[in-house]
Amino acid sequence: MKKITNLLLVLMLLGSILSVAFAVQADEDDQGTTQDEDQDEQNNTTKMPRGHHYGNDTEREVGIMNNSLGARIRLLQLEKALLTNILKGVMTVQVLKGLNVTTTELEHILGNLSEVLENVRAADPAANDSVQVFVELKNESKNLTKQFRDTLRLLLDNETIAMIKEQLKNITNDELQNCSMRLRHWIRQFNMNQLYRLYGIIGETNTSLINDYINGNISLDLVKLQLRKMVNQMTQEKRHMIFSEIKEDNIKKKIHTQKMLEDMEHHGNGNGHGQPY
Amino acid sequence: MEMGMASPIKAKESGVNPMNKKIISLLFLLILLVTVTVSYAYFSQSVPDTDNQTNQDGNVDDDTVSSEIDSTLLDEEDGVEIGDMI
Repeated sequence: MKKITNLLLVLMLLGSILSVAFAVQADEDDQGTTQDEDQDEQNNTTKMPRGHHYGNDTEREVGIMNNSLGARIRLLQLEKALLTNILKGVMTVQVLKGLNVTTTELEHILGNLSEVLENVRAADPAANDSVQVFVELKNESKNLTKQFRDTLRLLLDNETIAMIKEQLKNITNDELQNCSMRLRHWIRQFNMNQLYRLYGIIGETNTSLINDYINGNISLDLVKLQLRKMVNQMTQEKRHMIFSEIKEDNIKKKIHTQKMLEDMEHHGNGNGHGQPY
Repeated sequence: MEMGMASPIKAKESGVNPMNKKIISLLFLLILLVTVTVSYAYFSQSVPDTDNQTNQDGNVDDDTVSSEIDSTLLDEEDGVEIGDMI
């Protein structure tokens, strides 16, 4: 009788351990999934994807730089961002001079930003190292912008900063407008190429729609809407086929981008991008 | 006297003494516990990897195709973010 009781106790102990083991494993798996999701979310918010230390923003931006047209667009966008910041910086310095505040350091930072701008303008979108050049110049621009912002905070109180910020909200000049126009032109060219590629997959081409978009007669949103209508009218098989092809292309592009950034991080050079389109 | 002798015999006849009853109850409880735990672990592990982009029939949502198409196009307002000066 005692033996049976002992055996039962051992069995119970084993059962409990087994139960705990299963429960812990299940919990770990569950937590693992949650942690992965959290990590992904964190990656999106802090913009730190896996495999390399560049942010999601940079990954997205570099994603289209596998040809010179994409590289040209990103460099122009950087030029526009720099022009906007320099313009705002110059106006801020003028306001500060009116308030008899010393602006030497701010002017020095603005000088550095102008140098970066010149480097951006001189960068060749067709060069093999265009991605690396873009990433470096963008980081430099971000650092100098932050430096300017931090210096300004040391000189002025929050109220004055808010007032200047409001005044400079919609500031623009000819140079900036010219840059925006060039940018719009190249983005439309890029989208035109993408649309032809998409129509190639779909098997139908709406040339008049593309021409209307290129000429600025219709917006990109309207083009997207037309494409959506076209896809909705297709059979499920065809829709699936189109989805698969586009998805495959997008995944390939993403892998290529990540590999490029990883290589750049490990070897410090670009990787076969910026080829003439 | 006869009555006094009858009860242990009855207990033996029924084949279950109070100690055995307890053991059997514990055993059932143990089996139940293990079954519940194993079932829980099995079902929580074998949640199928549902692909959000396709429904159960393997069909692709209209929105999924559209968003995939949209992602290939570049927004004209899209820009490179370097932060604000002020």
